[in-house]
Amino acid sequence: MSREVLRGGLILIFLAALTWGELQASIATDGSIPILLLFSVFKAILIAYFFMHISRLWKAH
Amino acid sequence: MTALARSAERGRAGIWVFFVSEVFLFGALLSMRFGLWGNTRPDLDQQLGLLVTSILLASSFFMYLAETAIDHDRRIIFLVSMFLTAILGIAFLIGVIGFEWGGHLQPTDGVFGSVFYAMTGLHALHVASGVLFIATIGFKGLRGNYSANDHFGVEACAIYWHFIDVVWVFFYPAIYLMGTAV
Amino acid sequence: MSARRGFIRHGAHSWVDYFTFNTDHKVIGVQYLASTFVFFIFAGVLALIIRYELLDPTPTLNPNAYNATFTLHGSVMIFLFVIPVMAGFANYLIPLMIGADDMAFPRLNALSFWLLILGGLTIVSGNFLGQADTGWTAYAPLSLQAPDGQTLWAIGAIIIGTSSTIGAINFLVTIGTMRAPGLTPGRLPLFCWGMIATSIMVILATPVLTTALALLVLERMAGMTFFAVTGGGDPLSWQNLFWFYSHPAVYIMILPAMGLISEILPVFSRKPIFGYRAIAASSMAIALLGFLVWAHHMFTTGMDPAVQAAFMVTSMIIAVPTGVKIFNWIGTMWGGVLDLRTPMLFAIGFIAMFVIGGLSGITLASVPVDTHVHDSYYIVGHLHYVLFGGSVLAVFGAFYFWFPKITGKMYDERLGKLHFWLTIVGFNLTFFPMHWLGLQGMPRRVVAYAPEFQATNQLISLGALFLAIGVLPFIYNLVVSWARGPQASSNPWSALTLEWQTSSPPPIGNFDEPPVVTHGPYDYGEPLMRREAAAD
Repeated sequence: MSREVLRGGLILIFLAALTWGELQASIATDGSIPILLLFSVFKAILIAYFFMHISRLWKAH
Repeated sequence: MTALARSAERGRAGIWVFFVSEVFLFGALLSMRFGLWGNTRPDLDQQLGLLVTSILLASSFFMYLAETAIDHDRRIIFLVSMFLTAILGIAFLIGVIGFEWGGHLQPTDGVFGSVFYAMTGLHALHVASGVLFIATIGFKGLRGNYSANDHFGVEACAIYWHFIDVVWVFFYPAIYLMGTAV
Repeated sequence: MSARRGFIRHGAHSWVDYFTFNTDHKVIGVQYLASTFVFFIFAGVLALIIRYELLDPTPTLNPNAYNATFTLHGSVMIFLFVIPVMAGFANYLIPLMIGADDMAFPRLNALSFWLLILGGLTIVSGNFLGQADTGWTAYAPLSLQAPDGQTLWAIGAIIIGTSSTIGAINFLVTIGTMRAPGLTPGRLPLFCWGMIATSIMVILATPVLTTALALLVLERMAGMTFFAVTGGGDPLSWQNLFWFYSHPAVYIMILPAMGLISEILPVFSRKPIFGYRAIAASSMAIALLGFLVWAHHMFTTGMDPAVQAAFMVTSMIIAVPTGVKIFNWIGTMWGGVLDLRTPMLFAIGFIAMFVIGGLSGITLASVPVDTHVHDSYYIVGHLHYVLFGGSVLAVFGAFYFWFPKITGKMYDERLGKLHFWLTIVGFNLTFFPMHWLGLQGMPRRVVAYAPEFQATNQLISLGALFLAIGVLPFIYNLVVSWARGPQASSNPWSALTLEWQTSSPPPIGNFDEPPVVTHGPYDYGEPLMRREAAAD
């Protein structure tokens, strides 16, 4: 169980880090939408992986 | 397949399809934001924004922990995690509705106020219903309704909660970060 | 009462059961069919009022009341008849066609139906508390200033949209997870394929309308600004959100109808359906393309010509999968032994009328043509050819076809034919001249018009009267045959889909033993004979 918790936890930490990065980028570029959309793409990939992970977790039982 | 597994399979399919409809509900609002605000945004409390976002992300961790725990029959961890998730969800609501709302930006303040309250309002409605969902599942969990082999209710609650978090992950930059503050 | 699989009050033992919160899909199906038919009659009466007003080029009725009348006519026909009647057939037929005992979520299914009733009452009640008078399209900023009934209209539509979405989730999960052994996707009846495509569209499109309606209510009631120019709003964004739903909505209204036609034709041609895979694929293609054409409703809003051109192209492309179906249906009938009883008459009528409606549709895809005839009677003619000549004729045909299965009685064939001929004559008399009227410049949604159009308008109103009279033998047939008609066998049409392999009406749980499928749903003629010879 601890491995699963670690994996899920890591994903959420990455998500938090990306959010922090977004905030910094927003301040640095005065809210440039193209750059912030790039962050959204990375977040979307991470989230897709997270959802795939949790659906595999459930399908295993 | 056992009847239980079949029922869970149907429920699973149902909730993911429901998800897709919710994506288009929130997506429509998001498109209004870009249509009406363009490259601008209201001047909001960034610290508060970051705080509520962190609270929601943390709540998702505990929701994930709760589901993982019941999947391994660890009932205590499951129940405590559910409780913490709900507490953090309520904290998020207090942060948004108690502190962010009712500030200098009002719903009647043109498109800035309107889109802000519409987006955070629709999201808050979902968070509130999510907390109710967690409470319901939590109480059923207390009565011993769930086990490693049979906990679709927890699974559904978790997916719903993660979805609400995901919506915020995209709403937060759209409202607080993108565009020039006006 | 069984807690098994989420059943509450389940099954119908008397007519009282049809008025309850009942989780049996067959009961819910009949509840939908009966209620939507009542809404059809109501909206039809509103149409007769419209046609009465238009007998004279000057206003006869109160103009505001007239505006409310055509608003309610459109809203009720679309939200409370055509879209949900398809859900009614889907509810009744899908579990039977796939060999299941009920839908995946029976309680949600019952909720869907009662939400429809609640939403319907909400919309209609709005008419008595200061009417919605902005057309079913409710464009901002007019709808922002409309009387209080507009808010109720919006709330009612949100409730109905919720009903629709829940139903769509149920249909998809049921077809996806509850098919009988041997029922591969390649053996799924084409009505089921149509409902898969339709349900996907409902799930993607309806939430967008819900958002638009919610914002309309917020702006009207809470002083927020989304669509009004003062305050920085954008009226065009109402149109974009509205049509993002409402264009797919027309495919939501036609794809199930096309599925119904695909069920009827092979039975009454005694031939396999021509091009099963192409028809199934075309349904999915229409569902996808249907999301890429919405701005053809907005050609005259001052759009960038490049954007106009893009939507013109997509609107023309969508004719291709539609055409595939038409040719395949003709191919099905070609060389078949045609049985021209009432369901088949309506099916053939559908093909003919829908082709006409489709042709006027393609002309409208062209930006220059649409610029000339936008918001004219040409549009009214087009939309009624595809929605009435299309969807409604299919619905009529389906009512007759499955009547024996649902009721266990057979309808009167002569009355059925009378209904058909009165309908087809009245329909064309009513709606064909509208194309000419539009080209000559008569706008839609007007209480007064240029005097030179009076003779044509009177002819149209006469046609509408024919149409209305034609519905009478239908109602009489339904009621009297159900009460006193001859018993129907389990399979009066010698059809091959699963619903005909159980009694009429089916028992609770649908099948005495869960069926196992060993062949496709349309193996008529040679394949059937070959199979039966091999079995001997």
